[in-house]
Amino acid sequence: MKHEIEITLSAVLGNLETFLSFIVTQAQKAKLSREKINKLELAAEEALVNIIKHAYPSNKKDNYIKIKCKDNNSFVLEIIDEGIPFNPLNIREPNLNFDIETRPIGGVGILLIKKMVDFVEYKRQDNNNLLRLIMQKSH
Amino acid sequence: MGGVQDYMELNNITKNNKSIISIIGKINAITAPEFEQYLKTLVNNGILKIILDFSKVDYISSAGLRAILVITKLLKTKSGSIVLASLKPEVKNVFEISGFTSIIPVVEDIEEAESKL
Repeated sequence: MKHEIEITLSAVLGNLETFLSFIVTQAQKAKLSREKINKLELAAEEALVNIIKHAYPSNKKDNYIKIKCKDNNSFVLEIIDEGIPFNPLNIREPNLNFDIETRPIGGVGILLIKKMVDFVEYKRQDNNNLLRLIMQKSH
Repeated sequence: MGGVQDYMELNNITKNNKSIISIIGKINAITAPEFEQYLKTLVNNGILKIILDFSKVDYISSAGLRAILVITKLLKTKSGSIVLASLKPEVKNVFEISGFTSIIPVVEDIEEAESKL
């Protein structure tokens, strides 16, 4: 049984809680385990904050993020924005061997996206960035 | 609509020049700025030994890690130190994935944290 639902909101930090609540609610309806829901929420936050902070440098008024949740054999979260082309999977992972003085702060968010979900895919499609986060439902 | 609340509460006990900060809730992109400012204020007021009690923290994102890193670096400039205690498994996992457990001391409980500072 396939179920699909989406919302579209402005790409601002004030909407982060609404986005994440939506995702968590849909994941609960799909009966994803609590552990997987927490991991998905974290990955989604990292992806959304990246878009909110970096995707729309020109500060246009109508900057949106669309979120789609699809529930069938696995739970699929798609995050779609119209911002500058940005594939988070291409970013070099941070060097974790730096000590406290030289450690860069950036890059950790993307590492967390990759490690929290079962599969992650990126596509550039019709002037949109599409990031797909997939959680298997089997366990 | 259920599930997510941006809820964070911070409580502070200072004794013997050490502050134990009890954090309740989530440290995410919404709550991390307040978390960082709270700790910055403590450090700038002369508290240089800080224990973060994570026993009631369910969730931390890179925004929270960033705040902790900023405070750790600030403390280092003042010869202070910070220790994280009582991390739940899912939170500890985030620290480990990010490589933070190799640069910020993480211990099992408050007693161990106090003996480290």
